[in-house]
Amino acid sequence: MAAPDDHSEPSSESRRTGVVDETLLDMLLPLTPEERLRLNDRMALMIQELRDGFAAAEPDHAARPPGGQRG
Amino acid sequence: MASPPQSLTTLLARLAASGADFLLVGGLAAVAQGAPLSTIDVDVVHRRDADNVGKLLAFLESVDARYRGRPAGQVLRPTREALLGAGHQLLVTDLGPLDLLGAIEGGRDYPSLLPEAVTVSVEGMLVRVVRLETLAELKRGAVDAKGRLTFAILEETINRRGGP
Repeated sequence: MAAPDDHSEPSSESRRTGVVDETLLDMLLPLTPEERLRLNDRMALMIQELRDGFAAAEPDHAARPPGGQRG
Repeated sequence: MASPPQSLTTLLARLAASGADFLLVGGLAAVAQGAPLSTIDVDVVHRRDADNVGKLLAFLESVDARYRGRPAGQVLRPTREALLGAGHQLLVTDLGPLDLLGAIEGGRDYPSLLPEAVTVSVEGMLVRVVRLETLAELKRGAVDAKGRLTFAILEETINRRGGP
């Protein structure tokens, strides 16, 4: 436990306890809007590649509604 | 079959270059203003008059826009009548998914949201983006889990950023 007069910065791990990852927020805020959009593009591309990968491995993934159960 | 590479940033810039009037809303509007979210589509509220809808239709044709979620082989294109209405046109384009929204929560449409937009530069084009505070207000009172989480993230971003 930190002493009462301990004014050190919390670790990255301890700052990730709320709804928002504050470390990520601190990284994003200084960027320009276009730089933030480019980062989102990379994330969207990764999500699309994952979806394509699942669909190729098991075609019925694509046809099943979200949250659907296997019969 | 693998999907074509997507760039929502380029889709947004190309839409702006078309000369059509629109406001960026939704997840990408929040991302542009620093919110730590990810989104896989572009949501815009467009001006619903004949001149603007004509510009939109020309743009949509240039990026091969069609409704998404259709059975294979059943391509459906957006129409002038659909874009003049208040409904939501959920499309896919060569550059990624694009949602054209006639009106959003609370019946907010282009004229009512325009005073609450800021302008950002994307690939050299100016894009109007509904400000974070308004996006948060639109999500206040959301009853679904995703909406509540988004509201919390927007609020935290506003607080962290300081000032509008």
